[in-house]
Amino acid sequence: MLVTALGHATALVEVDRANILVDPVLGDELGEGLLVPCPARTLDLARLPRIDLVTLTSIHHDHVDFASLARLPRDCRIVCPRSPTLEYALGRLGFTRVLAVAPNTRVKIGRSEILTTLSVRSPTELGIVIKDPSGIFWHQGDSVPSPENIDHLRRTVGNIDLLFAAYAVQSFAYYGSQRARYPTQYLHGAATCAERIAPRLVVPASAGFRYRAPMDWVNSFVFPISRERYLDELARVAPGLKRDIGNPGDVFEIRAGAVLRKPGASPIVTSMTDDTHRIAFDPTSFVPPSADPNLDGYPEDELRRDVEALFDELSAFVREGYDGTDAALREYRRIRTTYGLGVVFPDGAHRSITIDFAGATPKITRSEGGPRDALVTHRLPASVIVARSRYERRYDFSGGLMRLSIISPASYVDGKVVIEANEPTDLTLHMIEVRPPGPEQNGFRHMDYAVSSIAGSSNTATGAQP
Amino acid sequence: MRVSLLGHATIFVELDGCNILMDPVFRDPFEDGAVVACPAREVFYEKLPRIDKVIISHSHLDHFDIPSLARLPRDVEVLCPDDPTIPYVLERLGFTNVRVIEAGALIEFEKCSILTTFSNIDVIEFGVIFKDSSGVFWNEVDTVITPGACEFARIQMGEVDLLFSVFASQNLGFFGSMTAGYPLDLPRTNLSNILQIKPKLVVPGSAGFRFAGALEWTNPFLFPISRTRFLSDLARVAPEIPGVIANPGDVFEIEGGSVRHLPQAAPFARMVAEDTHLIDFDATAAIPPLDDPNTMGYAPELIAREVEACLEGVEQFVRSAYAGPSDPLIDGLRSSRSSFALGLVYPDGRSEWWNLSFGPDRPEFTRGAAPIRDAIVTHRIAASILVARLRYEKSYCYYRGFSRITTTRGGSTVEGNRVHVSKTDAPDLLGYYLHKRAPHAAHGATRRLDFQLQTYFAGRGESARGPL
Repeated sequence: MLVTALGHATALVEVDRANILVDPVLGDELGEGLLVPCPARTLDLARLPRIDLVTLTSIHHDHVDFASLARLPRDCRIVCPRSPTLEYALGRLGFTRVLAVAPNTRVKIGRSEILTTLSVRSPTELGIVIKDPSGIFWHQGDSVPSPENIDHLRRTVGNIDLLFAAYAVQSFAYYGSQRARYPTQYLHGAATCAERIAPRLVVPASAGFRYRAPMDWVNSFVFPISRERYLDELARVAPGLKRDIGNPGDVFEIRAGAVLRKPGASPIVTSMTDDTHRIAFDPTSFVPPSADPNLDGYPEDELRRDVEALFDELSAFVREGYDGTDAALREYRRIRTTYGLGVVFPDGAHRSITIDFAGATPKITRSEGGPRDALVTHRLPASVIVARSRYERRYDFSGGLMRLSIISPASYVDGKVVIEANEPTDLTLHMIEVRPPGPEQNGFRHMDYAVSSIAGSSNTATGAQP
Repeated sequence: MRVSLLGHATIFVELDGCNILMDPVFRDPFEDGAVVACPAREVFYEKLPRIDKVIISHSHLDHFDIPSLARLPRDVEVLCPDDPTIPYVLERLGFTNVRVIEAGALIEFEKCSILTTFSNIDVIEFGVIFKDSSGVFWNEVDTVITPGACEFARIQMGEVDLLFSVFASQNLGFFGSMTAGYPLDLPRTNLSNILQIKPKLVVPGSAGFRFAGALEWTNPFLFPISRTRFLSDLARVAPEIPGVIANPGDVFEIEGGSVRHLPQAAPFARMVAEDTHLIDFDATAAIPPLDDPNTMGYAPELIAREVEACLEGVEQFVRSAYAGPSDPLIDGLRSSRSSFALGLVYPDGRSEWWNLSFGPDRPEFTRGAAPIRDAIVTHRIAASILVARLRYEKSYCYYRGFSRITTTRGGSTVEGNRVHVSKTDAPDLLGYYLHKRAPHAAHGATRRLDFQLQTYFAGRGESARGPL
C-alpha cells in the first residue's frame, strides 16, 4: 500500500488494484476560500491516477471541497458520513454511487477493505481504516475514537501499520468569548489515543491549513497544538512509538510489516514549502478592530438593505415567538438577558439591534454604532451575516470574523445569588438556521449555491463525464 | 453625617465633631500615571473644611498617593493598617501623628466612632464603618468581606444606613493571560454581602478610574461590571434594597436614619464629565500589537545596559539553581522540560527574543529574531517598562499593561508508570526573578517608594531625604 500526503487531510491511498482518495482538496484554497494549505504545496493533477473511490471523513468545508470533488469522475464511489445535506450535495454534483454510512461499516474494494470508525465527538465524523494484503492504514481525519473502539478494531481488523493521527484542535473560541485556555487535555488525549492504537508509525495529519490575508492575523491564535508539540507530547506519553512528520508529497509505503517514509517522493506534489512557522501559536499577538473584509464583494447598498431586512425579520421572529417554544428564545427569556447584534460594514460604519428579554414583551431598539447595554453582544461583518442569511456561505471557519462578548446577569434563586456562566446561542444565526422551510431545506439551499457556484468550472483532471 | 465623594475612592466624611478624609488622591493621573478618575473630576483642595483625621485603607497607589498626602497638614492624625510602607512614607513626608490600627478595632471619639473591618485577602487593608448620632456609613473600599465579618460589624455598629459597596471585579489578570471572561465568584460574593448587610442605600464605591494614555485600549476588557450593571443585578436579587450611583462631587446626608443623595452638592469637588462609556465592557474590542512607548524617556543605551544586566541575572539565577542549591520554581520547570521565550520590544520598534529551554541536565539559552517554536511560555514585554521595574520606578500595576504572557502549560510528565498532566499555567519566570531574586528584590517596595518620594521632593527643589 502506498499512502501519499497531498496537503491538509487529503491523502491518496494506492491499494492492490484500486486508488482511494481521502478528503480531496485539490485546489490552492479551502474552507470557502478563507484558508490555504500549510505547509504550502502545488499539485500537478495530470499525474493524479484514476480514482476508484473517495472517502469523506467529515461534513465540514475543509474535508468536503466541492470544487475538488467536481474534478473527479462522477462514477467513482463515495463513502461518506450520513448527512442529508451532504448526500443531497453529492447528488447535485452528479455522483451516482454514494454510500452514506454509519461508523463500523465495511466496504469491499477489490481485494481490499475499508472500515469506517466512530467519533465520540460527532455522528457526522468518521475515521477511515484501509486494509489490503500489505497492511493497514488508519486515517483518523478529525475523529475521536473511544478506547473501546480502538481495542475492538485491533482485535477484529488487526494491528495498525500507519496512523494519520488527529492531533490538532483549533481554538476558534478565542474570538468567541476570549476565554480560551490552552487545550492541555485535548493534547494529552490525542497522544494517549495514538498510544492505544499503537501503530508502527504515527504521523500527525489533517489540520494542515492557515488563514490567508486579510485574516492572517488569526493564525497566531487558533493553532495551539503544532505537529512538533504533538510529537513531543507523544514522546513523553509513549516513548516507544515510532513517529514522524508527514509533509505534502511524502509517500509512506506499507510492505511486509514495515512502513517506509519517502520524503517528497510523490510526482503529484511538484513543490512543497514548510511554512508552518506562519501558524506558530502566540496569543500575545494583536487583534485588529472588527472590520468587514467583504471577501465576496457584495455591493454596499445590498448589504445595507439585507441587514435592515434581517433586523426586521429578527424583530418579528422574537415578537411572534416570545411566548412560544423555540429553545433559543426560551433560554434568552429564562436568563432575562439582552441580546445585541452589532454589524460592521465595509466602510467601517456600524448598525446595531438590541433586544431586551427582561420583560413580558421584548424591547427592541436599533441604532447607529455598536450595541450599547447588551449583555450578549455579537459583533460581525455585514458580508458574513448576509452570506449566511442567503445561504451562500456557511463560514465553518469564521473565527476572527465573528466576536462575542458576554455579561452574565445575577439572579436570586432559593435564597442565593446565582450568576451563571452562560453562553446562549447566537439568536440571528439561529433564526437563519431554523427559518421556514426549516433547517434541512435551508441546508439544501446552501448546497445548491455551493454546487452551482462551481458548476461552470468543472474541468475534470481525470476525465469525468460532465 | 455628610459623606462626599471626591472621585475614585477618595471620600470626605463630616461626622459629629470630627471631619475625616479617607484615601486622599486629588490629582489625575494617579497610580504611576497609569489611570485617571472616571467619571472625570476636579478637586478644589483649598475649599475642603478642616481635616481632623486621615484614614488610609491600604498602600495601593490608587489609595495612597504621595503628592496628594503632601498637601495635607503634617500634624493631622493619620490612621492606617499595619503595613510598614505607609508609616515609612508618612514619616519622610513629615507627618508626626501616625497611628497603626488593626482590622476589627473600634475607636471612639467624643461624639462619634469608627470600626475598621476585616478583609479576607492577602492585602494589608481594612474597610471603615463610621457612626455618629445621625446614623451609620460603611465604606468597604476594596475589602473582601466574609459573612462572619458582616455579622461582627452588625454587632459592633448596628444597622447600616449607607453602604459604599465593593462592586467592580476588575479583571486585571487580562494583562497576563489575555483571557477576558465575565467574573462569577466575586460579584456573587459582593451581592450576597449586601443581602446580609441590608443597608438602607447602596452606592457602588471605590472603583472610579480608567486606564489612560498608552494603556487606554485595555479599558473594554478590564471592567466587566459597571456601576449600572451592579445596580441592575442588585435590583434583580434584592428589589427591596435601593441603590444609587455616586459621581465625584455628590454628597450623601444621613439624618435620623434616612439617607438623602445630593448630586453635585460638594463645594470642594465636581464631576467634569460622565465619561464611563469609555470603560464599557466589550470583549470584541481590538488589541493593538505590543509596542514600547518609553513613557519614562530612557536613553537607548540605558535600556540596552539594564536589559542586558537583567538577562544575565536571570541566566545566572537559572544556572545556579541547576548547579544547586535548588530553587522550587526552577525544579518544576526542569522536571516538566518547560521552555520560555521572552520577546523584548524596544522603543524603536525593534524586537529580539531571549529563549530558554529547561533541559534535564542543563538550561539552553539562545537569542535571535524569533521565539523558539512551541515555547511553553511566551512573554512579550516593552523593554523600557522592564527597565522601569528593575529600577523600581514604576509599580507592578503599570508594568503589567506592557507585559503579555501566554502559557501553553507544562505538558505531561511521566513518573514511573504514571503520566501527570499539568493543569496549571507555567509560572512567570521573569516575574519571579524580579519579585524574589533580582539584586534588590527584598527591598523592592521601599525602593519604589523612595523613588516616588525622591521625584516628589525633586519637583519641589528639596533634597531627596525630604524635610527630615
